[in-house]
Amino acid sequence: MKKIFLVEDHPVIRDTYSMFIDRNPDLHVSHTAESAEAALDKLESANPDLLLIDISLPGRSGIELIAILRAKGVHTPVLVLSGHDTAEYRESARRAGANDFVTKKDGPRLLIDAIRNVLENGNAAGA
Amino acid sequence: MSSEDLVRERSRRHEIIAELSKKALAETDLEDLTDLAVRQVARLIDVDLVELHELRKDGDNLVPCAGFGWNEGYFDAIAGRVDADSPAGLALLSNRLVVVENLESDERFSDTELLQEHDVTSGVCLILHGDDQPYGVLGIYSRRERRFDYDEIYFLQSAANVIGTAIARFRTREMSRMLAQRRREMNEELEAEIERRTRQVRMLASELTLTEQRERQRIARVLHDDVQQLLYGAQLQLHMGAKSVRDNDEARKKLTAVDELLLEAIDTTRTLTVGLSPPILKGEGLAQALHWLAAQERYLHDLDVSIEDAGWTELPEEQIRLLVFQFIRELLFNVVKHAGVRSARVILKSEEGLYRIRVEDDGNGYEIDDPETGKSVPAGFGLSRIRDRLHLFGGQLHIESAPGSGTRVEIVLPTNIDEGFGSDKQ
Repeated sequence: MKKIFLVEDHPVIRDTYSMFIDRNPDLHVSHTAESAEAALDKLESANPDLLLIDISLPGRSGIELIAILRAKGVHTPVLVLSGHDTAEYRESARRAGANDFVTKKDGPRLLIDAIRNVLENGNAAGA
Repeated sequence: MSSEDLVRERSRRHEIIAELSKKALAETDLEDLTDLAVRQVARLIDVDLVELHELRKDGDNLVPCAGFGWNEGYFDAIAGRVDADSPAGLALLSNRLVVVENLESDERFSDTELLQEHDVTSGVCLILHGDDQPYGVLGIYSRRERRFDYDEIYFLQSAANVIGTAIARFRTREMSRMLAQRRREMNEELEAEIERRTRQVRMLASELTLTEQRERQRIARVLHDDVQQLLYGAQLQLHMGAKSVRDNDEARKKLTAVDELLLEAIDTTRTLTVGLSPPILKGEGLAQALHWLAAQERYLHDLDVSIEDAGWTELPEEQIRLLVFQFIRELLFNVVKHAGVRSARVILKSEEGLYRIRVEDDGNGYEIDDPETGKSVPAGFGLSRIRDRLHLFGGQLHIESAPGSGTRVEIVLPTNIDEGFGSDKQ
């Protein structure tokens, strides 16, 4: 079972996504954080297989969190979750070091597919 | 005196009066005039001492203003109240000419010490008549005892009239000058107040515009951070619930319908969020945001927008970037609505002291009377609103257009806009 660390500030989304991902037997949301700072605090002890990070976080953004992790030498695969689907955000996420990018509008099925692809390949096909 | 001598003397006196009148008209300084007048009066009837006193507005005090033949310091000593103890005072109180043939023996006066110090023996005091009250008194004195004849009194009165008229004219001129000065001061105060109020109104209006911007951003944040997340959460819950009704066609159809409604709600909130506060503007500059806008225009309206931003120095203040972004979006929407073409150009330029942003198309164009105000621009273009808002920040809107010749709209903003808006610094 792969451990997923979900960084999402909205409690409804955090709980719902955790519940949804946990329904897949090979996946488990082992840790959550509501901000970049909280994520950085918990990360070392969490040791996840994948980081699922919302782009819009209070304080430091998800993009900034990814850049900090990469600068610290954290190579855990990162899947970015966003409410906005713009080429600029995708590009910013990629440059920061994200492995892939999904929007909340893409739907839950695509989210699970994207998680599995990143876990397997480090990035999604065509990324 | 013989008749010839009398005629000659009268002629001389007339000349002195005429000269005094002429000088009174030409003189611009009252002090100079009264100094001249007392010397002329002394010449007029050959007396030793002449004094000119001004009556203060209270009507109770005489103040010396010019003198001839007096010892130094005399005038400082004689300023005093109007009373009947002196010839000058009696003249004023009685409103009549006062003649003194022998001061020493004249029992009417008790306050004559200073006159006696100057060996005054005879004298005449005449009133200088004014509009509401006398201007003062003209006093002439002789050291020898003499009787002043009718001719001398006549010419003295003529001199007093000339002096009185000159004083009246000076006072009128002084009053006019003071009124004009006061009017100027009031105008300056009014202009300063108008300028202050205008600045205040401009500051309030610009603050209102920015408050509106901030409210739009707040609403966009609520829509994105709260409403949209709830909708995503609901959609996700629905998907999880759908699995348990896999075998129930009817229930699955209903859930699918709900899912579609949720998608529509999500789309609507996303469109609204982007419209209220384009996400790209938060961290990026105007040029970057316009490239994003160009993609949006292509997707939404099939409008091909080219962006030229070589040499553009970014607007540092986020709120102004947002405002200008919204203006450009509105101008592009005008192209979509009215130009009848499917392409437009946005050109960004930074010059010394100015930002210039142009939106151009080669479409239908329209008639305008005034390039700056675009007065006869048809309603619905929103250009007046853009122009009015630009003015709040010291900016301008220039429009060039003609039927069949396309349209070129230019936004001009000063670079010092970022120092002053929304504050008292202006």
